Formats: sequence, structure tokens, C-alpha cells
Amino acid sequence: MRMKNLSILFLFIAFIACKEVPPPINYEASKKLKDTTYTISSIPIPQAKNVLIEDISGVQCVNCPDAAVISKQLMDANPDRVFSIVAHPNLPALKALVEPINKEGHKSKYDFRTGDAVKIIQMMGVPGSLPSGYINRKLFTGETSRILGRAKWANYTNTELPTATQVNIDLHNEFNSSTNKGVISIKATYTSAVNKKQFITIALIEDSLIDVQEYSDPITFEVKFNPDYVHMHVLRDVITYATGDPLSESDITIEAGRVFEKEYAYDLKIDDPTNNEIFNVVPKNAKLIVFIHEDTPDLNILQVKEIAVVE
Amino acid sequence: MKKLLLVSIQIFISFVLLAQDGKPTEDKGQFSGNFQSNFQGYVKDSAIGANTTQYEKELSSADAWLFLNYKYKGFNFSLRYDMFNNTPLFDPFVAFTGSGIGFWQISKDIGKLNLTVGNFYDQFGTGMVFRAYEERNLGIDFAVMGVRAIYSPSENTRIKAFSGQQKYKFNLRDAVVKGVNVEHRINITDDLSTELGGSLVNRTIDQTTMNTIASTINSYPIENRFDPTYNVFASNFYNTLNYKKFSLYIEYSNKTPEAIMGKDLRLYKSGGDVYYTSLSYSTKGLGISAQYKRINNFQFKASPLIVSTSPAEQGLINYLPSLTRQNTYRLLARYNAVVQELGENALQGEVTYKVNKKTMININGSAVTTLNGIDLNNKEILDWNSTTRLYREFYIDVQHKFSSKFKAMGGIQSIGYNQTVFEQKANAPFVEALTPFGEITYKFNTQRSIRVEGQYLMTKQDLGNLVNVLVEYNVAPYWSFSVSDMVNTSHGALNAPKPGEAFKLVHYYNFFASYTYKTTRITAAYLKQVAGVNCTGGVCRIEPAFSGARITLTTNF
Repeated sequence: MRMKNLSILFLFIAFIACKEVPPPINYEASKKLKDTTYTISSIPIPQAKNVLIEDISGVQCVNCPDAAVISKQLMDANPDRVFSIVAHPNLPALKALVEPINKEGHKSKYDFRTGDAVKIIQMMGVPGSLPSGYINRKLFTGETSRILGRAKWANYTNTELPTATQVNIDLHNEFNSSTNKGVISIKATYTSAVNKKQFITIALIEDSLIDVQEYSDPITFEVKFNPDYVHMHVLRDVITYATGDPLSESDITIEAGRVFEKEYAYDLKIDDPTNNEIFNVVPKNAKLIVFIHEDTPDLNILQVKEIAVVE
Repeated sequence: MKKLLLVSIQIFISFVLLAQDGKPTEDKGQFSGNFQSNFQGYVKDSAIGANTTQYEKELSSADAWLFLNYKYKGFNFSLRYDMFNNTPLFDPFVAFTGSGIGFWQISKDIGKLNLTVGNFYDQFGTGMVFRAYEERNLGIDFAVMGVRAIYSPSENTRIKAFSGQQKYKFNLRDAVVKGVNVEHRINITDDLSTELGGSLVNRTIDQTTMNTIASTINSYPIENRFDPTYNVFASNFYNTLNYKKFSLYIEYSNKTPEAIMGKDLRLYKSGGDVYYTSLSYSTKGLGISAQYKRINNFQFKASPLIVSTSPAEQGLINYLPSLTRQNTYRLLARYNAVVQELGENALQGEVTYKVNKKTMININGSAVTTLNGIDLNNKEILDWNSTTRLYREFYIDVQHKFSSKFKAMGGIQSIGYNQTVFEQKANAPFVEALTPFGEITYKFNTQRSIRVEGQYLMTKQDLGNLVNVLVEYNVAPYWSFSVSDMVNTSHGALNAPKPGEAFKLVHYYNFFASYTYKTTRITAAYLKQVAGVNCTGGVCRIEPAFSGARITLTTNF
């Protein structure tokens, strides 16, 4: 009888679980305005390969400011070659680290969390702790995961920088300050053939957001609050679908000399349904990061470029 | 993983040595095993379509399995070494090479509980929600690698539970499968008993596979997109009611909605179910049975992204039984109804009547249609037309024993076969075939006998008319020889000669010999085999033609 009860218990343990969170499926209407493709016979010289650091962060994550410092050092050392997106995922599993602060007399002005960040990390793998990040979304040799601790960012960034890219990205942006809306034009030129389905992602980030951040005192290791912390490269929206739009709906193999020209409309008034907050991104602090990457399971970023909304 | 295997091998060897070194009075345990090897040499014959990769490049292939089992004080240790050299077993169009430990298992009985770790084969009920099995002839090895517990609190009750991953060649599928099954028998009266059963099986998709599923769905038009699920649950309930000479079996299986692969190779979200029932009556000299099965979107794989015509590559977690007759004669078994997991209705009826001690009659009829082909709410329940028909068979044979030395059998089979669906041959017309057949066996003495069989398949579709004659001479208990030839006597819709050319007879001959000594059997054959659907144990696959030599060796010890 005891064994019988155990069997019933086993059944419950095995099968009763929380409702699962589905993977990101894009039900949004595309913001694409233009989509053309053609080939050129004169293949341009490949651009130097740039690096995107996707820094998964949270305002209650005491070591996240340290990760931001590492990103900044890498960007300063490699101007226009290294870019950063600081993503605050609105994910219950990371709630204790990413939820806006409201304790010990400190209260966040902003909610940096986005549903787009959740979709990205669902695709890339949810980190067990913060700060964590992805370097060009690559699974580096010797690593078991694309999720990397900040101590590894410099090494892998420097590994990626000397490599050549297979696709050149050229960007042009037109912003209408009266409507706070703009159109970004992207030209992607393949300098060598690829045989994995290609995706494009356009992320809108915002700099210079001053708001409270928890941090660890470097001497006493006490948890403290910095009410004047300057949040940089904060992911505010993804103009394409969060996990990217297919560069070509049909083609998997793309030949050298293939050019894709696309235009996407964007709006600095953001309505993120996951945190019930409508906010306006400040144009002079806004930047668009465009990157081309492979389909699952590879996911690798082939090239990344950044352009300011207001030059 | 490799370490685990090494440890298991070491434990296995240690126990065997321990048993050998033990004192004579101690229980040394029981050691047993078997060995099987197949060798195929390929002789290209473009006339019959024997021109796959093995005919062009590898020219020969070999497979071998060595299975060892050791029982000691309630422990059971099993280990199997598998070798595949250029084998077409997994996919008849691809040569696969690999070798290693294909199966290992440690099992222990603890009172009423049996625990197993490692690989195991098992099934719940008829296998419609879970079946882990091996079908070596088709390259199928769906063993689960994991842990299983079987608890039998009484002789009428059994509870099984497991968790693991499905084996795939020498690796594992990424999905996790777990399940529970309960079976209970109740003897109500001496004449009335019932056997109840229920199962629940869960499969969880890994993140990499789910990323690909999500990416595939995101490439569809928005109106066709859907949220896929990591978890799918399949459950079934079944009952066998026995009353005197009657037996009624009913089973209902259900699967929660998930992404499944349609025939157009697009993903759809759908749940599924299967209704299955059979009624049989059996008395001295007479057996009658009737079966019905309805499958609706019951695709249950390790991943919905797996696409292959070869069952060995499909990663099936369950097994959907076929409700058509399993024929053995070469031409009677030419057309087989491959179970349609996305939807089918199947009916079968069978009568076996023993007229007297010398004469027996078998009658069988079956029909398989699409889901729309049978509607119990309509006046005409069966709607057999060009859009619904998949398969039908009518079969009758009469066996008569003329004397202790001579017996004969004759019969006829009528087949209707949707070649477009079952063999994915576009625009192939629906095959209508009529095949009379017969067999005679004459025993010269207790050791020597001769058997002659013949079938004549008549059809205007497919490859046209085929005649097959086989002569087999047996010298018991060691030797067996046979010679057969299947001849394509006239063309059908798919092999019509070019204008101005005459049809040439095509021979599919087979020379065969076997030698058996105690538990060892060696066979050798030189043969040509027509392309078609090969079914073993109700599981079928499309196979190309074969031309060449086959040598097999099997032994038990």
C-alpha cells in the first residue's frame, strides 16, 4: 500500500507542472516599408567584423554595473567596432534582479524591462544569474553555452574582431523630429556565399537614462543604491520582430554579390504590452543597432552596425 | 556517456568473472547470448532499379549484433554490440557506418518491484501512446535510455513508470520522454473478466529543436502561425472484456495539441486521437474477429521536425498497428497498407473455419480509407471513392491435408492499393490486383520434403502482371534449398515500354540455401528483389529493388 501511494505521488511529480511559456512567435505586423534584392557583379571588399555584446542586466543586479564597465572599456578600445545592448528581460524567473526598485527609500523612475528582451533570451538561453551576456551570439569553442559571464567578454570580443564578415551593412536614417518617427534604410551586401538562413534585427537603444541602480561596494561588498546611475545602451524596443525578420523568405543559400535593401519605420513612442507602460525615447539619446544573424540553431551574428537617430 | 558505458561494461565483466571465480557451491548465475550477422554484396541492375549508393560506391555492406545477458541473484545485466558497415538498414538510400555499444541494461528485482537503468524496450497496451522496440530488419531500434520501474502489488495489477530519451543509432534524441502505465485485471465471475489499462506519456522538446520550430513557424504568413508547445501529453484507456467465448477490446488514445508535420511538410498545431476496437469469438474449429480503428492526427515523434520515409529515422515514440492482413507469400505481400498517422479509417474482418481435421478455410477482408471515408452518422457508412480509398483486400484460402505426406493449399487475393499515398509516387493510378495462389507440400520421409508455391498477380497498374514460382527442398534438420523466380510478364502503368519498343520480361530470381546445426543457422542467397513496401510486424518502409548476394549467420548460446 505504501508503494502504491508512492506510485501515485510519482505520477503527480512527473506530470503536474506550471503552465509552460511558449517560444517567441511573431504575430506582429511587419514594419517593413521596402524590401528589394538584386545581385551585383563587382563584389565589395568585406568590412571588418564588428562585435555586439548583449548584456542581460537588471536594476537590482549588484554586479551589473561592473559588466557595463567592461562593455564600455571594450567599446572605448574599439570605437565603431564594438556595440552594446543592455537588455532588461521581463521574465518572472529573474524578477528579483530586474524588477524596478522600490525599497529602502529608493524607487525607480523607469521600468527598463521589455518583452522583446524576454523573447531574445528565450531563444538564446535564459541565464541562471546576472550579469550575463552573449558575444555575437556565438557558441565559442570550449563553451557549453552562449551565455557568458562578464569575465569572458573581453577575450571573446578580441577573438571575434580580427575575423572577416560575410556581409557588409550600410545604414541610412531619416528622422522626423516633429512626429518622433523615422525610417531606417539598410543595405546588406554579401561578400561571400552563405548557406544558412539569414535574419535581420533592428534594436532601438537609449543612452543616458539616470535612475537608481543597486551595486556592490567594491571595498565593503555591501549592497548599495546609486540614485544617479547613468544607464547606457538600454534596449527599449526591437523594430523588427525580437528574434529577427528573415532577410529572405525563401532563400537559404545566398550567393556572393547578393544585395538586400530594406526600409523599416520606427516610432520613439514605445508601447510595450509586457510592462503596461508607454514611454518616449529621447531622440538625441537614441541609437539603432542593426545586425544580421543566422537562423537557429546557429544564431551567430555575422555583422553589426549602429547609427544614431539624430546625428 | 562514454564513461558510463565503460563503467557498465566493467561491471558486466566483473560480475561474469565473479561468477566464474566463485566457489563451486555458489550460484554462478546464468550466462546467455546470441549473435547475428548479415552480409550483402550488391550487383547493379538498372533494369529493376537496383542502383542506390551501395551499387555505385560501397559495393557491399555488413551488419552484426552480439547480445550478452547475465543473470545473477536477481540482477540482470545485458549488453549488445552493434556493427553497421555501409548499411542501408536505417535508410535504404544512404550508407551508414558505425559500431559500438548499441544496448546496455542493468535490471534488479526487489520484491514486487523491478528497477531497470540503461536501455530498455517496453510498450504500454497496444503501444499507441508508447512503444520502445527493436525491429532489426527495418533498422528500427527505439530503445529508451533511462530509468524504469515496474511494480506489481498483486498478480492482477501492474504499474510501470519510466523517464528517458529515445536511442538514435549510437546517440540519443534530445527530447525527454516519460510515462506511467497501470493495468489491472478483475475476474468478475468464472465466465466474465475485464482487463483495464491506462497510460500517460509526456514528451518534452529541447530548446534547440524548439528554436528551429519557432523559427519555422515565424517564416509562415501571420495567419498560419501558432504557439508551439514544449510538452505534449498522450494518454490512453483500454479495456478487454472477456465473456465466455467472446472478447471485446476497446481503446481510446488522445494527444494534446502540439506542432505536427503535415503531408505538405508544413507545421500545424493539432491534437489527435485514435479509436480502436475489436470483437472476437473463438470456439473449437471456428474463429471470427472484427476490428475497427480511426486515427486522427496522431503523429507522436521525438521531434515534429523529423521527416523521413524510413521508419528507422522517424523517431516514433508510439506504434500504430495496421488493421490489414500480414501476408507472407511474395506476391501477396507486395502491396501493404502503411498506417497513416495523420488520418485513416480501417476495418478488418476475419473468419477461420476448420471444416474437419483435414480441411481449413481462412477468409479475410479489410478496407482502409481516409478520415472522410467512414462516417457512422451517414446512411452509407463507407464512402469508397477516388478521394477516400486507400486500401482494400479480400482474401480466401483453403488448406487440405490429403495424407500424412501430402498437403495443399489454394486461394485468391484481391487488392486495391493507393500507390500515390503509400509509396508517394505522384500520379500513379490506383492499383487493382487479383492474385490466385497455391502451395503443395510433399514429405518423402521424416527428413526430406519438397514444397512448391506459386502466385500470379494480375494488374494493369504499377508494374503489371507478375508470376512467382518457388521450389523448396528440405533435408531436416540441417539443410534447406530453394529456387524461385518472379517474372514480370507484362507491363503496367509505371513501366510501359517506349513507343516502338517491345516489353521485355524481367526476372527476379532467388537462389537460396541454409544450413542449421543446433542453434546456429547459416543462409546464403543470390537474388533480385522488386522495389516496393516492405513490412515487418506491421511497420513498413519503402525499399528500392535489390540485386546481389545475402549471407546471414545467427546463433544462440
